[in-house]
This record gives sequence, C-alpha cells and structure tokens, in this order.
Amino acid sequence: MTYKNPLNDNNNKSKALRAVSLWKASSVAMCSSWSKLPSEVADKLFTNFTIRELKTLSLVCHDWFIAVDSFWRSKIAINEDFFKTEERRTVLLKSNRNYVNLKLNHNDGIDLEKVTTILGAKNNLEYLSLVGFTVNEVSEIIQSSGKGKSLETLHLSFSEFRSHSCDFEVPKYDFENLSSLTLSFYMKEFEPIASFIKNLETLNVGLASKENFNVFRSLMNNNVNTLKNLYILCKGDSEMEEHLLDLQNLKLERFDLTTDFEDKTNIHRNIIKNQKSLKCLHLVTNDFTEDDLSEISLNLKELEDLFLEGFNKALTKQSLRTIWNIPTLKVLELHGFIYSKEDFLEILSPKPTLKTLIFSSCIFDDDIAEKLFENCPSLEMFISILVREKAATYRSIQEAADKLESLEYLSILSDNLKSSENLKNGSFEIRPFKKLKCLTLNNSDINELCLDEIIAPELKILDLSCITGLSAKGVMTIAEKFPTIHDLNFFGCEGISDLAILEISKKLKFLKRIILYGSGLSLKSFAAVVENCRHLENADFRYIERGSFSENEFEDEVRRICQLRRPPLTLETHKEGNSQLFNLASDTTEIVLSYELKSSD
Amino acid sequence: MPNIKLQSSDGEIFDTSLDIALCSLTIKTMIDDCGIDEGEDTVVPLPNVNSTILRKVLTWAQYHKDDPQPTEDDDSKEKRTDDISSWDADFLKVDQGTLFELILAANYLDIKGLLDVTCKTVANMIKGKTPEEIRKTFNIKNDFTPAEEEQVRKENEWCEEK
Repeated sequence: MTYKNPLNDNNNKSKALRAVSLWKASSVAMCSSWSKLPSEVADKLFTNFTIRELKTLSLVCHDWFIAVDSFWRSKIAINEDFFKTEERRTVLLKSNRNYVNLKLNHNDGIDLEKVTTILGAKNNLEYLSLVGFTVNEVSEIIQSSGKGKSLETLHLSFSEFRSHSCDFEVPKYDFENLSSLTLSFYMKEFEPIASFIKNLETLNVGLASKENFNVFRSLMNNNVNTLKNLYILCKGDSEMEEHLLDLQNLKLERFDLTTDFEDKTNIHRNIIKNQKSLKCLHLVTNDFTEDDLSEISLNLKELEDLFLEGFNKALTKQSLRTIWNIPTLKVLELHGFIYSKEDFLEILSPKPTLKTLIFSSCIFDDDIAEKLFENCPSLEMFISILVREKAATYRSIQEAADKLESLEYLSILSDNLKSSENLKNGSFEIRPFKKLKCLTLNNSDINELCLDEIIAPELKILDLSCITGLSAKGVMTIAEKFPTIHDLNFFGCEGISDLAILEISKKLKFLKRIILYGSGLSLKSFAAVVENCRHLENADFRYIERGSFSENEFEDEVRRICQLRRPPLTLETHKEGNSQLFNLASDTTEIVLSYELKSSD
Repeated sequence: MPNIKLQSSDGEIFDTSLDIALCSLTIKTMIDDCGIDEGEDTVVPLPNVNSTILRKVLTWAQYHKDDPQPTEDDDSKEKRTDDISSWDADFLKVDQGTLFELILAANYLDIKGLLDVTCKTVANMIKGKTPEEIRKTFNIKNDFTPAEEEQVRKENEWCEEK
C-alpha cells in the first residue's frame, strides 16, 4: 500500500528516509556478538530446534538462556509451573505466540484479568486445564479463548471451598472440537456450560455427590453417539448406581470403573453386559460375584485388555476360566485373587493371543510356569508380583527362555531361585532368551550360579535390587555375560564389593544408569564409575561408606574424582536429614552421592 | 523496472534494479511511506549494512528475485534444516563473522528468505554440539557460575521431550 507522505519535497524526503532508516537501525545497533542476537532473529533461529536441542542452547550463556526461555515457554507449551513466579507470568504477558496448551491453578495466584486479556488475543488453544476456579471464572476463561472453539481437551477441577453462584447469564460456547473432558471435582452449577458439549469421545468423571448427577446425565445424553472412552470414579453408596443406567445406551470401546460400593449392585448387568464392542475394561470394585464375572466374560467377544482389582470373592476357578477363554484377549492384569495350584493348572488352556500377563497375590511355581508358558507362546511381558508362596525355582526362568520366543520383559519373584540341580550334573541344557530386554528378580534369593545360567544377548535392563545374597562374584558374572546392559539396579545389595564395581565399570561399555543406593560401597566404586563409564547419564551412590576419611577429606576426594571426567562434573553439596548429600553434574551426566552423618550425641 | 540507489554504511552507492531492492520489505516500506516517485534520484541510506554485506545481500536477492513470496506464519510447522539449496549452501560458505552480519542484515532489511536460510545454516552448525562446543564455534563467553549452570539444568527438567 502506498500513501503520500506530507513531507513532499525532495529535501524532506531524504531526511525522512534517513530518519526511518536510523530508527530501524537503532534497534539492532547493539548486536555485536552471537550472544546478543536480536529477539526476532533468535526466535526465528530457535524454530529449527527440538526441545532437547533448545535445552543445550540455554546452557551456552545468560543471553541465550533468557532468549530460549522466553521462546519455548510461550511457543511450545505452558506448564502450570510457569505461573508460579511473577517473573514468568510477565514473560507470558509479553509474548503473544502460538502456545496451544495452558494449565492454570488458582492456588498459584492467577490474575484472571491478565489471563483473559492474553487469551482474548488468540483463538488456537487446544488443551486447557483449570484447577481451583469457580464456575464463573471457568466460564470467563473459556469465553475469552474464542468461546472454546479450538479446544480439544478440557480438564476441570473446581474449587471446593469458593462459592459458585450461578446467577450469571450463560453465554454461548462453541465446543465443536472438544473430544476429551475430565471433571475431577465439579459442581451442579457447571450444567449450563456442560450442555454445550456435544462431540465428546472421552469422558473422565468423578461421581461423589448426588448433586452432580444432573451434569453427568446431561453429558451422557448429549454425547450418546460419540462417546467411546469412559472413565468413572464412583464413591458413595449404591444408590448412585441408578444414575449409571444411562450408560447402557452408549457404545463404548474403553470403560474404566472404580467404585467403593459396599452393597451388591447391578452395574455389570445394566452396563457392561451390553457393551458388546468393548476392547478395554478396567475394573476396581468388590461388589461383583463369581457369576457376574463369568457372565461378563462370556459377553465380551472383542475384549483385548482386561484389568481387575478387588475381586476377592468373584475371581474363582469358574470365573477365571471364562476370562481365560475370551478369544481376543491380549493383555490381562489380575490383582488380588487367591488360588489353589490345582485349579490354576486346570484352567490354563492354550492362549496364543496373550501378549502381556501381570498378576499379584497368586500362586506361582515351576509347574504353573511350565504349563502357562507352554500355552501362552506369544507372551512379550510376564510379571508376577507379591506372589503368595515364593516357590518358583530357576527352572521357571528356563521354562520362559525355552518356550517364550518373543519375551522382552520378565519379572519373577521367588525365594527359591537357586541354581538347577540338574545343571550341576551336566544333564541340563542352558537355553538362551532371544529377545529379553528387561529382567527383574528383586527380593529373590539368587546367587552367582543362577546368573551364570541365564543367557540373554539382548538384555538392556537388569534389576537385582534387595538381593542380599548377591556376591561380588555374581556381579563379575554379570559384567562378563551381559555386555550390552545399560541399566543396572543393585539397590540394597550388600554382598557386592568395590572390586566388582570396578570390573563392571570397565566391561559394561554402554552403561547409562546404575543404582548402588545402600550397597555398602566406598568412594573407590564411585571413582571407577565416574572414570570408566563414558555414557553414564545417571548414577545413585547414596549411603556410601565414608571409611576412614574425615568429612573434609571426603569432600576433597569427591572433588578430585569429579576432575577425572571430561567434561568435569560440577559439585554441589548440602545436608539433608542425617546425611551429607553431593549432587554432581555435567551436560550429560547426573550423579547423586551421600554418606550418613554420625549423630552428635 | 527503474533503478534505485542504495547507500551502505561506509558510503558506497549501489545502483540496483528496483525489483531486486524490493525483496527487502524494509526498503519497500521506506519507499512506500516516503512516496518516492519513479525516476526520482533519491538515495536510500542503509546505515546498518556495510558495502561487503550489502553486495552479498544484493547477489542473493538477484538470484532469488523470481522466488515465490514466502508465506507468513508457517513457524508452527515442523522445521527442516537439510533442505538448503546447493546454490544457497555455496553462497553461505563464509566465515562465521560474515554469516552473523548477513543474518543481522537479513533481519534489518526484512528479507524472509535470506533470514530463513541463514538461520538454518547456523542451526546446522549448532546441532549435535555440546554447550562448550557451541561457545567455541561462535566465540561466546560462558558467563554462568557453576551454581547457575546447575540451576538452568534443573529448570530444564520440567519440560521433558514428549
């Protein structure tokens, strides 16, 4: 667009050009080095980086830190932490960029007027989380951000203690793009706003007071055709159940229900039974009977993922059999059932679809392992926690190696993971795990002989925490046998030694994380890990032994060891509780170390 | 197209075709606002660009004068830095001091295409380097104390990559 400037003779024209030009120049005249890039250039430059790369940039110098900070906090996402300091709020107010996520907590001292002013200038908010506000305030915030039109996800938790008057005139909202709503604490006054929500696919609600049911029912009725995923946390008495009846009109793919009903209810009959296309069902409740559970399992012909907790009475031989026979089941997680070994063995029939099996409070021993693994050859993850009798022996591990070709994650808890007797006699062939990446044997009774018999060339993560019987020799076995490991957990393994850790630090070239918390080691182990593990990202040396060092000598020694690393680690030290804590860090590595202070009395 | 005269900070006059000069939105705005008529013998002063850099900028603008106008507000799109044309890559094989001045000039003159490609070149020089290596490359002084550096690292933790 061209317009004629009043300064129209040539002399003035040149002056005017010079004036405009100089004014423009003054804004960049200060930029004489790379650290002082003009903010618009910095912002342009930063669009070429990932968040991780930006973090590196922010460590270069003060100016870049400030530039990166103001860039990414406004551009990429706004976290609720952002609002905790006045300084950051000011950064937000000054910036007017394309952030699409916003989390606000009233307790952080939000100035509503400022927020609505900022939001008023933009219409592209996709994710909004509001905690501790009143219905009026929530209404105002949503109104200011383009009446909610661009919102895809909304998370609301209203204040319990502030008054929610509903005497305001309800404005119009536009929730056409809203597909996910979470109401963790809400009010009946919210209903007029909720009535505008029509296209929900995912709803996550808490039902704790009868007052809220109108909101819930209105959401159910308005979104009956689109709702696919429903998460309900229901607390109170079973009278609430009747309000759940509307659910039977829905066609759900995922249903999560947690109740604390004492009385028996008809939830299964009225709701779950009719959900023929459910793919995922997670239930935490104790009002089901054996028959209920069997009936549900028979009806759910497409179920892929089942999670049950609290079914003490209902998980019986009969009901577990029907669950086991759901033809499409891929993921099964059962907590809190008691079983006799014979019944369990009887139920286990071929289950080639199953990929993940997790259970607790069950019986698990070698016989069960043999039959289970034979019948579930596709298992990728098997976890047994809180096993009732820790009866499984080393044979269970070998059964897994032998039968589960795709196994990537194995966790077995047992007091009897002793080396196989047969093996010692040479009549037993050691079988390798082809794909195993993670092995967890914490709290078990295991020794180096047993470790010696595990072959897992792909193993990356080994968790042996709280195995007091693990010896220095066992640790050396690990270094020898699993050269690809990058995560090691020796939490509370008191039987290992500095020498063993030295061996590990030299042999495990890819080690990224190691936990040696409370393993009774000295600074020698620390020095070995710092010096030898080039790829180390995290290490935990808390409750190390101070030995004969005085407190000052110990700190000097830690400082000396820090310098062994390139780039050197920086050190920060402070007291925490009854221990002296050392935080060590470089660009890529973080190590925490502590020793216990002697009590002064 | 008529010609226009541009004057660099060190006084050199560049008699250049108007369509090349108009790549710069700053020059365009100045001309529009001050109402220069065709054929007038006005010199546009550019006190923030020296003759070496201005010559480079005009070379770039000459080569790219027929490029489509870059669209605004594409910043939200995922960026690639490996799509620099071979002509631009050759053109930007300069010492980092010149590159720095080119960026400033592109910004001052508001030439989006040149700013884009220079920023990408700088980004490629940064990627994969540690903070210390970046400081060395661009001759930046580390003005953090160790405690501050630790603080920055902690600050960075909240925003984990998704």
